[in-house]
Amino acid sequence: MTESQFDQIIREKLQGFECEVDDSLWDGIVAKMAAQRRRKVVLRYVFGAVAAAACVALGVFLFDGSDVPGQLQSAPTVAVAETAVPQELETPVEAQEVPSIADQIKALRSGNAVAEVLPSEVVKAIEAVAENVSEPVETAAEEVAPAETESRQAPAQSAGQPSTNTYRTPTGGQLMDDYYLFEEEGSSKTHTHSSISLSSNVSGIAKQDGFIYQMAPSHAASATGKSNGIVVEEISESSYSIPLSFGVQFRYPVTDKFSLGAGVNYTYLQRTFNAMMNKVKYNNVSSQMHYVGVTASAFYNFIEAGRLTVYGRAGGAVDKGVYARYVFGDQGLSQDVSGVQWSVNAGVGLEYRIADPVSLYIDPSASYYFDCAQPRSIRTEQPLMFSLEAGVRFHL
Amino acid sequence: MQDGFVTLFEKISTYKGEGSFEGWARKIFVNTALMQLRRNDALKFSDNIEDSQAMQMIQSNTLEKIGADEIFKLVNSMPDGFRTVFNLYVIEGYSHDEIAKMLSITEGGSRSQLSRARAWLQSKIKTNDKYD
Repeated sequence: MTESQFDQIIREKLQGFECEVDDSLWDGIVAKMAAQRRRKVVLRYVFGAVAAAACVALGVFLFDGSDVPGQLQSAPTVAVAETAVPQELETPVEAQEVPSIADQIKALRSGNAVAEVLPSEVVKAIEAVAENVSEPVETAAEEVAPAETESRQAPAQSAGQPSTNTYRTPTGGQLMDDYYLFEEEGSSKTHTHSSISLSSNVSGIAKQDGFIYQMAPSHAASATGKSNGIVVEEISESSYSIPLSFGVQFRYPVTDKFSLGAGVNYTYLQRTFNAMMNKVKYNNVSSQMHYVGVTASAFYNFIEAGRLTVYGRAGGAVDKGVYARYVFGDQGLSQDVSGVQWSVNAGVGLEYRIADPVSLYIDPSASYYFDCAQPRSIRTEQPLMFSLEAGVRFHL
Repeated sequence: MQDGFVTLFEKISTYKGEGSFEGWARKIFVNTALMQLRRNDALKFSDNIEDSQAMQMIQSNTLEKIGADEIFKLVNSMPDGFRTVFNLYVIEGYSHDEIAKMLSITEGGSRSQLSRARAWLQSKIKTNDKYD
């Protein structure tokens, strides 16, 4: 008898052979499935709670209002300070007195010319702030400047300025336009920023076999080129805080390998700078912007080997600034942000399923933010941003 | 077997109707069994058996006389490594190339294990008087 004959006889004998199984088999299956279901639910909540706590902790820890570390910024000199700062401010900034906002408002009110050149909504906003101001800003008061009188009188110098959509400070630098509170003297600014941003992302993905949501801290590093004038007549380089974003994304598998995703994201952007307003310098002016965006992406799984999946993704997003606030000391002005921010992104991802409901992934990507006349932020300063996101996905 | 059914029920939503359900289910059971063997570190392919070449094949009529339940018991009593390759090749119909990939061994290793499994099985049949 040959080996193949031997195999064939064995195969024929066992073909259709049914062995008796223990009666407890079914009970065991039911019990095990119930236990696994409970375990999944517990794991889901535990991982969700841990990941949420980690993201929040990371976000709070990293986004504490402090700026990107100095060594991560390039060392550009602030050309603006040389071109936009008036002669009166050649006195060291530290030695100048910065009037309170209330004084500023009074000065503005007393200067009819300024009133003419200020957009009415901005004046109203400033007046609203002035009504809430009872005492001078403490930090500002510490800085004594001989130019105080001049700065209060300064608005009168621009009396002859035409009232158009663009307004100029007495120094010749553009101060305001119809929309933004300030506009920088763009021609004088050409500097480069380098920064690192870290964001916490929470997003969800619905797949055919369930819903996945993911929470992940992401790290983005990028380098920038020119700065486009956006909001403020700045006399210092901006320091960008870490963008913070949260979102939910749904993913629908079109084929085994190809899927489409759509989601909603919230992003918080902040930067800090020193600014000139009516010839008065304000330190640490904070621009805080809140964006809500819609994303659309296409995913393609290149490799699916056991627990490992390698995928590529590409897509776009449109973000709408829903709220922008400029904070001077303890005062602030708010206004809407017109237009939207368009962007495209692409990347590759590596996902490893460590347990049935849980996967670890790493997702390096690049995003490009188009010039959409948005207020200055890290996105306008650094249109091309690279990010490396790593986190946990839950398959629900 | 219990783990196989649990996996089957958990994954049944992923069955897209492509190919036969039996084949799909069979694959799940095979994979679950292999996972279990790996977890127990049972896939060790020992050399402590005489070379199959030295073993003379039993007569076909001897094998024909043995019932399916006896064959089943004998196969089940094989060392894990032999049984795995034997089941995959003889019962499930996988090729040596496929088995080698599934078990992370060489194709030659798969052939060798199969030969030894056959020899082991025949030696058990030969040494058992009730099969004469």
